[in-house]
Amino acid sequence: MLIAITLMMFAVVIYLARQLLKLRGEPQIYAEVAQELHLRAHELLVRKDKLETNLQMVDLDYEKDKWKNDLAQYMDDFEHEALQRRRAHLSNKPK
Amino acid sequence: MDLSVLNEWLVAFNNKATMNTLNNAVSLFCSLLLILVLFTDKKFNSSSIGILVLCLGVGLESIALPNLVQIASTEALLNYFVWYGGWIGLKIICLLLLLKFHRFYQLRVSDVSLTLVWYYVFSAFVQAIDFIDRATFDSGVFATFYQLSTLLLGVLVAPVVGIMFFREYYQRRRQLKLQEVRAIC
Repeated sequence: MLIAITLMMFAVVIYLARQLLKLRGEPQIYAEVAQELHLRAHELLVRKDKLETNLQMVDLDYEKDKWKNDLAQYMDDFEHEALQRRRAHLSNKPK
Repeated sequence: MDLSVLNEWLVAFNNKATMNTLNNAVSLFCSLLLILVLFTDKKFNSSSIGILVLCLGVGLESIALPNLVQIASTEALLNYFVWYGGWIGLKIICLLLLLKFHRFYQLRVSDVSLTLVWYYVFSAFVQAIDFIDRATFDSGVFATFYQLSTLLLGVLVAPVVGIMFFREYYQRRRQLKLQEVRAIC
């Protein structure tokens, strides 16, 4: 009986510690989004390299405009993600 | 491994006067650390909350210690349970406070608080395992380990937490300075 109570108290300790450990790091979804943004940045850089080297492209001006638009979209997403992350940290909601 | 020398040393160490001196020293150190932290850090963050809870825990322990010693000096299983359960209960209260503060101020757990969490979990584990040993086999295998680890943990946790806090503090200050330099350049 007393042993059972002791074990239960220890279980409570473990539970509280796990709750605290959950508040420690970044959630999984952040890592996934960060990886996706990283991939997009890489893709954009590759496209820029192609634009700079391959001058006899069919529609150079159009491609350049498209690249600029994509870059703006990427930066927008990046900023949005940063803002959201900041908000999530300030209001620490469990996921 | 011959533990008898260690055991004798521990028995000689475990009298009331030494315990009181040690307890007073730890409490004084914790209070000074708390005052220092509250002066150095303007913002309330996870680390200062950790040190606050540590101080609170030490205070509660020093209140509970004489009563628990008195209860545990009578040899009965229920009294042993009160001794071990009381310590685990104190750890639970400290962890609960830590969690409550972090939830209330919406903070992320830093390294200092993490160290404290591991300290509480480990000491609760030691208490539980020694009580279970006493209640079932009464072999006293863990007795020396229990005494040594509680003593060492109780003495060492405050300095370790203090060192970690100030390391973190200087790191943060260095980062701030770097940011200022970058802004100027």
